[in-house]
Amino acid sequence: MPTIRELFHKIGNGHNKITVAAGLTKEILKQKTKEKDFKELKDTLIKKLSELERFTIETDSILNQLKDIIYGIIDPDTGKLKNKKGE
Amino acid sequence: METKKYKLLVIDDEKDICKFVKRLFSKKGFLVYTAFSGNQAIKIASKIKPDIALLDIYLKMGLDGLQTLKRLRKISPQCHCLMVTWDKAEEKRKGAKKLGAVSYLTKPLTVTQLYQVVNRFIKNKRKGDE
Repeated sequence: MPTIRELFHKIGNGHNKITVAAGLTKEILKQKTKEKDFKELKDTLIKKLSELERFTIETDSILNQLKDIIYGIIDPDTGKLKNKKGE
Repeated sequence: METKKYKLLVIDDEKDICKFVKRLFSKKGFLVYTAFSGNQAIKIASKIKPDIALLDIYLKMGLDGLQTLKRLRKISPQCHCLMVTWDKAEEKRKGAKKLGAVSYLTKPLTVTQLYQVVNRFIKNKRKGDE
């Protein structure tokens, strides 16, 4: 069974994959579609991919806030509840 | 981004990330090598002596990121090591800096961010070569 720390890392890695893949796709689109007919479509795709990147970064920031709260209450490696001193 | 054939070693247990970064920088003229564990990275680094390494600090199998960084710096002291992590813990950043990491990138990474750090490396390298 994965630990809480591993689960958070897994989700964080998922966000990382989305942002890098979105950026890479934008690069490929810029290089491969030079035809004028596709310019509008290409611009829309690049805009949407940039939105995807931005929203993923925002989502990850929320995940980090959740992580800080949960790690404060539960030991992320053992899954045990911490006492009031956070130990 | 015009480059001579710099050798970039990507170390991440997420194979997709290695694949994406390889595709991205191969197109920019880099020789890109990938390793999915610290141990594999050390083997490759001994052979190729990388110019830059993009190293995930949280590696699940074998050597962790900091241990890998330490060995990598021994094998290839000129290697420009960029640490990557999701964890914002200051302790780890300090540890990595002490071991010779030049930059610390926080996940989720963006392509713009990757280009920036690599461009900085190229500029510094050119200044050093002049």
